[in-house]
Amino acid sequence: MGAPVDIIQDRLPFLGLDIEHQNGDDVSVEYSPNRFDYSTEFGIALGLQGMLNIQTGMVKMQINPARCSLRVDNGVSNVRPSITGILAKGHTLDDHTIRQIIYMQEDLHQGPGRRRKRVAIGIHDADKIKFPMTYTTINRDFEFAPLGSTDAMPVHRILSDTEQGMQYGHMVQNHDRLPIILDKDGVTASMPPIINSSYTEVTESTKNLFVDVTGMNQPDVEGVLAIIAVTLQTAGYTLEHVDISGGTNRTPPLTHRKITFDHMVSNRILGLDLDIDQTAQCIKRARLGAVIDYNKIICIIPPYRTDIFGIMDIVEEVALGYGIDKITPTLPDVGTAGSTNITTTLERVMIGLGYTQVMNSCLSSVAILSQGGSAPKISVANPKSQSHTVLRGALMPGLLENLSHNIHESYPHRLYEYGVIFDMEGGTITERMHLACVTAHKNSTYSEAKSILSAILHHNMGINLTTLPYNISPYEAGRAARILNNNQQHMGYIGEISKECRQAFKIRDDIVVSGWEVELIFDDKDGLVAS
Amino acid sequence: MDMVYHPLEDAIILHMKLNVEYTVSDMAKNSDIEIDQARRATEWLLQKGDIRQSKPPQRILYLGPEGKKAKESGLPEQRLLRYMLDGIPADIIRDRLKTDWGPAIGICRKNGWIRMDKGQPVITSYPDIIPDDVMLQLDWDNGVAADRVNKSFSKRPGFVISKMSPAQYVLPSEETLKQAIQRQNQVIPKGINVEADAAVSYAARTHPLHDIISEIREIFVTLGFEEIHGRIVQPSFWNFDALFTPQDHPAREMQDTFYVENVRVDTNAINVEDVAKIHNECWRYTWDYNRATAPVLRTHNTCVTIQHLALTNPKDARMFSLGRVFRNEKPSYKHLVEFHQVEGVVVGQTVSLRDLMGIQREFYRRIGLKKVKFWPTFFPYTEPSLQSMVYNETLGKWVELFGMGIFRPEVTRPLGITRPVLAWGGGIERIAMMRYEMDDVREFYRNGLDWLRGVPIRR
Repeated sequence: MGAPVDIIQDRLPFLGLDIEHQNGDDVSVEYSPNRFDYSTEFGIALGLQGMLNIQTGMVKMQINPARCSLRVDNGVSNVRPSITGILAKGHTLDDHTIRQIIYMQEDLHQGPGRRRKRVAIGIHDADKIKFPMTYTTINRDFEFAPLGSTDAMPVHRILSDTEQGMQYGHMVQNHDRLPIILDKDGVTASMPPIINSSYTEVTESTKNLFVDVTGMNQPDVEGVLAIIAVTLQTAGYTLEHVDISGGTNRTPPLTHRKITFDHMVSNRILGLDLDIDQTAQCIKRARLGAVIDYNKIICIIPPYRTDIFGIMDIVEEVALGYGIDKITPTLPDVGTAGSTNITTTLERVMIGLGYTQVMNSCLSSVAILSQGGSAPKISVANPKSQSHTVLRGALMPGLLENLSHNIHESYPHRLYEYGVIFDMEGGTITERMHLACVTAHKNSTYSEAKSILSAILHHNMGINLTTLPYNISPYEAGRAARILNNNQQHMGYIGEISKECRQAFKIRDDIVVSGWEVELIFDDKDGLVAS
Repeated sequence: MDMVYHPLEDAIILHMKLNVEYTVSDMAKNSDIEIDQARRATEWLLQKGDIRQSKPPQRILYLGPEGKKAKESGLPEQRLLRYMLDGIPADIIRDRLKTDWGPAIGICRKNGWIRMDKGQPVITSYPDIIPDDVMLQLDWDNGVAADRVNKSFSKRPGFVISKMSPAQYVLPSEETLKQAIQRQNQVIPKGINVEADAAVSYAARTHPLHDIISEIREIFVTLGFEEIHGRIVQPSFWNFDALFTPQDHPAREMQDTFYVENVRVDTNAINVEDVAKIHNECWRYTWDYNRATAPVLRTHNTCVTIQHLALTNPKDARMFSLGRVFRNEKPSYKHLVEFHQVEGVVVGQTVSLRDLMGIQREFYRRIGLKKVKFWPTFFPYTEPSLQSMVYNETLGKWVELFGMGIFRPEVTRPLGITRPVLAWGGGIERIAMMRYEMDDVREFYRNGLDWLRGVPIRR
């Protein structure tokens, strides 16, 4: 392509391509999900040409006039109304390139295609097809041989028996008639968005390609077609229009758009001081067209750049064309006073009392919460990890779990946690900051817990706390209490952990706990926020 | 363990002879040291068992002026009885005895030796021995131990003077003396083994991850940022829709995001229609309000900052939000389900991408990461978008840290935000891993005391 390998490797990240790994001259990169034109090395080459000043400006798409046509039957309008397509002629693909095209197709299906729901692509051996083609509908008894099979099968079996049928069939399950692309003789090319026919399968000897893109609206299918078209053109194919008509469909224009751009905008946003010519050069290096018209730049956007919505996208193109690495950071003057209302008061008290901080997840497991006496109330849908399925309603179960993991560490254990707990009250989820501390050693007693609680809440926080007898799991009966603040508001619980609970956590030593709502310490609710 | 001897102790031992009694003052005098030094050293030697107290300190009595008088001329009761036996009239006896008359009558009557008849004493039985006379015969010149003297005698006014005699000490073993001499000849005095390990003490401490969080908070505050807070459970609207993430975007699927089951939340949104419009236009689908009310565990803190900006629309502001975020993943050594993020925003008419890069670089500099570079990237809600790459000295490679960008007009305009907003954010655990040189991020939430007690507090 005309540039040394090391320079190419050096510039790849500045196209927005993350280097995944590198082995000598082989580099594999990850592109961002707004630039599907970078899903093959052909698209990346176009970008690099601009960056390295080898070829700048808009990539022109040369498309020969249509000689073939495709008719759309109205029946598809309520299943999958939009179709577009193009012919790519006069080239053969080696195995490596075929694989790249398939990967691109798959990426487009996943990304803008939304798992083929919005867009599905079929690539065919054009020489097997007799034009004109028809995009129409058939019923489930219609038969053809799907890709991967030599025998014709009825559609209902294709849907129930083939892998693609099972994976994508749900998109057409509510329709009596399914979309299909047939050639002049009624031979099936594709049953979008599910599967192609085996008859039009592309091989290494295929010279001419027909690409169909179906979907739910015209901009989506035409945008995706443009990405495929520019890729095939760069790969060496000659493009030829297919005349498309019927319904709301048209022959895809695959023409550029224009956005008028003021270079002072990019200067202001990027913090640069480029003149209008320099700005236009940057835009061209990003492979857009740029024509200066008096004091504005007319940006010309090729059809495959579906990621460009407006002015700010052009600003980014200017930045890329200029080179992110050439933009020097500046530290702006501080005109504001920084502040936080996070307090470290409790933290200091707890450390002073000899308690070590732990941090547990808000998302816990049913087993731990239930064992720790806090029945889970709020669960999340489809968790991937069984240790993270429910939001904690108390800190204590997590602390008991921590003790359980540390039984081989020297005693005494004194731990505290300061964090959010969740509750569901009248269909509303509440989030409250709590502090809980556990003390575990051979002779820990309620009195020790009370002494610590008083040290925190009474001596250091000035609360006239009251502890009233209260029997609640997992505390030992007769050895637990509710904690009330100055205003007799319920703050939390204190007590000795029952033997059954300790056994469940496999802890031998005595454990005492207190846990309470932090905001109830303060009259002023805004007074304190925990980190 | 060898015992340590103070030079004062040796000074005393070296001046003692075997089984000879010494008082502390003897020892002080012999060893030519201060009496207080001798007293202290004696205590130490007693505890070590090198010397023994042969006599405890004792109260010793000597005759006082009245006692001496009685020794010369007899006890008052003795004189009374003698005069009466001699037939001397009571009046004359009274004159002779003077102030002793009363006590003498009292003692004799108490012992039943006399009775009173019309004011005159009459002998009833003459005693063989007058008990206190025995006392007078004791060897008073050298003093008498207090316990050998009758109370009736010592209680008489002026009869005795009391003094304490000091304790006596002996050196019972010749070995002690030999060792002291040996020590005296040693060039280097022997001490305790100061190099030996002692028992481990553990300081209570804050969680190492919390320390980094506090440090990051401090950096933001000193850079002029105000901290804002938001809830963990957020409507999809603020986590996604307001940030121009279409409702069919893969990131919104349950595979990646935690949806809270069986509940809907109010979006607390003001410009729902404008947000709907921009989605419909740009992403070509029909935006659904119901999907925006589905509560999620926030996947980033940008939902907190954008909400605050939408509600306040400040002209110039620096704000940050720090807290937990959630991703529906399988936890691994490099991914957590729940982790901490910090998100910052700067609002202002003249703020630029260079400023954004500058703030990042300054932040990293303050946290101790000196090598930083920026690469372009993509986020649905910022344009331009960058990611920062930071050199990890431990791994010897560049790693991706905070993502950043300028909020898209498609984000700000529908929410009524009129000025450019620089925004960035990223995970804190990654920075903490570098700081503590850790290779498994799950370690932070294991809360093993072996680790918590072992991680040094350092910056």
